Amino acid sequence: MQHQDHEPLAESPPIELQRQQTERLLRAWAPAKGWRYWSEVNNSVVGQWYTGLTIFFLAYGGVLAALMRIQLSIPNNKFMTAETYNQVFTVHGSVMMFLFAIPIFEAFSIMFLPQMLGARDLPFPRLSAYGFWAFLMGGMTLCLSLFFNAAPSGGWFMYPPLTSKYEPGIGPDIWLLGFSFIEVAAIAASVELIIGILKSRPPGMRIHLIPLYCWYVLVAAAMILFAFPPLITGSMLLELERALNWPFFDVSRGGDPLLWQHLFWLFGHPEVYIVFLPSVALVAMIVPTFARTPIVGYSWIVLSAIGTGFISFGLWVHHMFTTGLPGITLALFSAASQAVAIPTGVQIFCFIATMLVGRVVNSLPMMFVFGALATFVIGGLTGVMVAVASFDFQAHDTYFIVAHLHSVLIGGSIFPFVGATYYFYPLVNGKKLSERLGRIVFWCLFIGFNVTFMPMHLTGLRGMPRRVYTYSEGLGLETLNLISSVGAAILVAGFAVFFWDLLRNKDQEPLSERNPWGAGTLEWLQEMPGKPWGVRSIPEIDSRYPLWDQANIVRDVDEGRFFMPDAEEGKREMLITSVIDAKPVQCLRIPGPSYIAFWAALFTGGAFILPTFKLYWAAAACAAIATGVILRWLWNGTAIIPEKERKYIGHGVEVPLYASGPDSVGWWAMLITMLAVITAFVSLLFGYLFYWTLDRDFPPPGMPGPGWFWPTLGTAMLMGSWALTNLVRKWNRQDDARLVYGGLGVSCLLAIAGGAAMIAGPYLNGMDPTQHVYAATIWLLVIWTAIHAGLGLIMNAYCIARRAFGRMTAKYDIDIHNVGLFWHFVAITAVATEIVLVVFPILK
Amino acid sequence: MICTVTHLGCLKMRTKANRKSPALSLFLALLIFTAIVTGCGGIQSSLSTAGEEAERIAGLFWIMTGAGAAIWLAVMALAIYAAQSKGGEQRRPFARRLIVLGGVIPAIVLFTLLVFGLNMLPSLIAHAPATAMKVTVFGEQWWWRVRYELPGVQPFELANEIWLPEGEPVEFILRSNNVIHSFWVPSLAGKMDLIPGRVNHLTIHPKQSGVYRGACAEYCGRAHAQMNFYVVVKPKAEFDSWLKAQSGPASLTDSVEP
Repeated sequence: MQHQDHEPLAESPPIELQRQQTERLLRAWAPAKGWRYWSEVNNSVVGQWYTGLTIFFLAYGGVLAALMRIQLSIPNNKFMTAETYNQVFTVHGSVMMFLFAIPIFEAFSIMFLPQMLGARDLPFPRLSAYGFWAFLMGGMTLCLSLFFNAAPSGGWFMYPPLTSKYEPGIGPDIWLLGFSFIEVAAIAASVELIIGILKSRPPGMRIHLIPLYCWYVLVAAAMILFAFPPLITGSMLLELERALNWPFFDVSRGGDPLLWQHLFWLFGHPEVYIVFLPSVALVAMIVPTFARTPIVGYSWIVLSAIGTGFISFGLWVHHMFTTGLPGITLALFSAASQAVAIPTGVQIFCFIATMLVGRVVNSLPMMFVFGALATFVIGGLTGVMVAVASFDFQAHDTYFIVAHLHSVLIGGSIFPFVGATYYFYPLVNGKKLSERLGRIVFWCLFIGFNVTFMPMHLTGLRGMPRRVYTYSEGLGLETLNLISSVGAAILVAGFAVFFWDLLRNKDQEPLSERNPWGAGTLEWLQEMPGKPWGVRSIPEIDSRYPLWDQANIVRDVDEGRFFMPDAEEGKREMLITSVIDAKPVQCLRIPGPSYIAFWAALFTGGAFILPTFKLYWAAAACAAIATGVILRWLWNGTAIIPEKERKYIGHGVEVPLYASGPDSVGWWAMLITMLAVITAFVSLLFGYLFYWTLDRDFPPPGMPGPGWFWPTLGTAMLMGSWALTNLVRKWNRQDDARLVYGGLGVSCLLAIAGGAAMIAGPYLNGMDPTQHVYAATIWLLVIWTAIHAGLGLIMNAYCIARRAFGRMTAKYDIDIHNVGLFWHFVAITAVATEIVLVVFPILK
Repeated sequence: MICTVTHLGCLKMRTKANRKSPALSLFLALLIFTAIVTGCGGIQSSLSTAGEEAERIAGLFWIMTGAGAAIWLAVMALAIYAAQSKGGEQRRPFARRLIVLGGVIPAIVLFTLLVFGLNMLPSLIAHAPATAMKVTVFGEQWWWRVRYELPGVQPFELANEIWLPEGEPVEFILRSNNVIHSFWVPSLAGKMDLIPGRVNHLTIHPKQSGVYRGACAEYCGRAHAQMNFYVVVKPKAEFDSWLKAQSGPASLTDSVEP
């Protein structure tokens, strides 16, 4: 047991003081009532909305699957036409992957992660709320499109040229724009979760004491930063081809459909591990509880999770084995795809090892763990089979793959999720779900899964391809499909019972006892029902299982014997700690209820979704309003200068109320967001290099290029703006107002001029982006750079205003730090664009 | 029948009494039932092979399935045993060793499989010998345009129908000028995509005369499910006379019966 820096108070504080502290905490944290409830940003509330909405989408996707199985139960069925079926299977896949599998872990994390870390909330509550509203808007747009016969029908991976030239409706646009919107929201959630895990832990929770769930979420959230942007870029390319005829995937003008496949699967393969890792994380929290022993092999699990995440970025081509790639490519990706099974397996053996050392208690959550294990291992084994390219030549795009993917997704996501719902439910409202109904749910799901999907291995190898709305008689597929459809009915029954158990009125049920499962981790400190402020005082911990190892921790937390037991100024506050050693570094004040997140989501959503209906001016207006709303959000709600410099949080510790630069969570948010943005840019460069390395004319002979003058001038000016902005940071520290205003002013001018110069290159040289993919790529690169220059311009102007109104001073300078950080990325973008525009054509 | 026997032979029955054994038994029973009832045969089945490529892949499949079933049973047995054991600190060294083995043994098995699988790859993706017959296939929406351009014969086109001589390699040239399709005759070989802007190839060695059915295996739009075709494999002499007849003037003939 390690030494605690701060012991809890030796004596209980006076009762009257405890009562006053509780009252003040309640006033600060009580959820808003009436209509204002919907402006709430507290993670418990937003988490419930998020989880509820995600479960709705699960049900929606499930109904679509049931419809598909009805259609496929007999050959040549007339239950659905081909057009309807094609929309239904596309929406089924898209809803399950984008509106359930990813959001469920974000929703769960928003709800429970702070409690696992003994924290009162996540560092950016309004960002969570924004993510929820964006999710609602984008998700409902896609789901409702089906009722208007306007849903996409290109499959959930939307391959061009089918989706670029052969689907004239608005379906694909809804997919491309709607999901890009949701993906941006998902990235926002990742930023929040990463910073929450790294910087808002309880004192003493050093990096090797973090709950395993948090490690897994950290890995998955980091993966999102690098996996989602390639899809966002690809979607941008496809939408530009559909809307403006820019020929990224049009072979007759130099494009290539395979670029989409690369960009999509660069997203798509890590995506499935982003789905899997947080789900297995739930298992990692459940097993130790019911084995009555700490997890065995903690370090192995962490390393394996990181290893799996890392390797998963090197596998994507195994989705393209039949596209005619060279043997060496097939061999490399085949090997890597098999290799990823090793760290995956290590994690499973750690759970088995834990059960071996412990003494497992029979329980409903453990039944789901076993169901998950049985199902997922099958999926993992068939995954290894299809990783062998030779075999994949037969299995690819058949029902064998459908069987594989559902085995890993249902085993690796659904079973853990349902089990975790039974396990964590008491934390939601203090009651338990029904043990009896839960067992029915388990058996229906387990039996239903096997009856539905096990035959599909055979169905696929017997010749049934994917995405067919019907099949012929006489091929031996009738019995297999009928069995699968019967299994689907059993699955529906299981889910129906599960939803009933969730939704039924529990007013008459008794409250659960505190920590009903006897678990060891901090989320089980919660009283039943939980209080709106979360944890009563923020504990110092020195063990992975504080509730097992630290005597009297529950009493000490409840009586306020630890840190921050009060809300003296009536504000919502949380503790920010250092990354590795979790020492207190800041008392962060976080916002209460606010509608601004809703408005920001509404107008950002308008900017993304209105172009689907070709309402470009309305979309531009929404974008402008959204910018305004976000600026107001930042102006009123961030980098607030506190009334005093430091605050006393107990045990002789005083921490600042304000931090800037790398000490501030806002700076980290900017850094992490920009990592995602730069990845999207790198994906664009990937596209350029893809065309450049293919044995094609790129640039085509005789086509005008952007020249060297304008790009170089533009880059030089943007580099000037970057340098000036970072100098202004120094000048601001020195409180030299003239240099600050002067520097920012000139940098604004350079930003405008630099962006314009970038665009002048292709514009003045008469490059037509609809003529050839080279021209389109160059145009996109300069527009991208110019947009970043424009954002930099807005940010610098914002800093001028902040300084002018006294909201940014020499000491309180978060804004200029974050803006300076942003400009680093603009500089990288400008230089990369310069190299691609000017240097590469010379090399060819 | 071979299919069923292999299934049974590969599954080891466990009789440990535990709360999961009903589930396990149910699962195994379902597997066997399905296999018995449905079998593996059919004219569009990768498990009822009539070509060299399909045969090699099917062999690989059976080995992997057998190994996979054994591994699954072993892992589940281990997990059930672990859940039932009384536990205690004395099990910790064994538990630790289990984790290490859980990395090492899969690594060895996977490496072996990799060698096996990679060894098979070159023959599957190789071009046919230069003297082999070439057939060009164009993916249309939603049918297959098959073109024979052979020396000494007038070029001709067929729709959704391919004739091949038994025992000789043939190289398919695969092209599309619309959307992506995928050419798949499971009884004969694996599949290959038809991608606009690319020329892909697929080598097939048909070994047994008969009629086999192919499908489009890449979603290509509304009637993707109807985009099927037939491959007729005939002994060389019959194929040659068919070829000669094809290059003559068109006339009404009976269509190929499946």
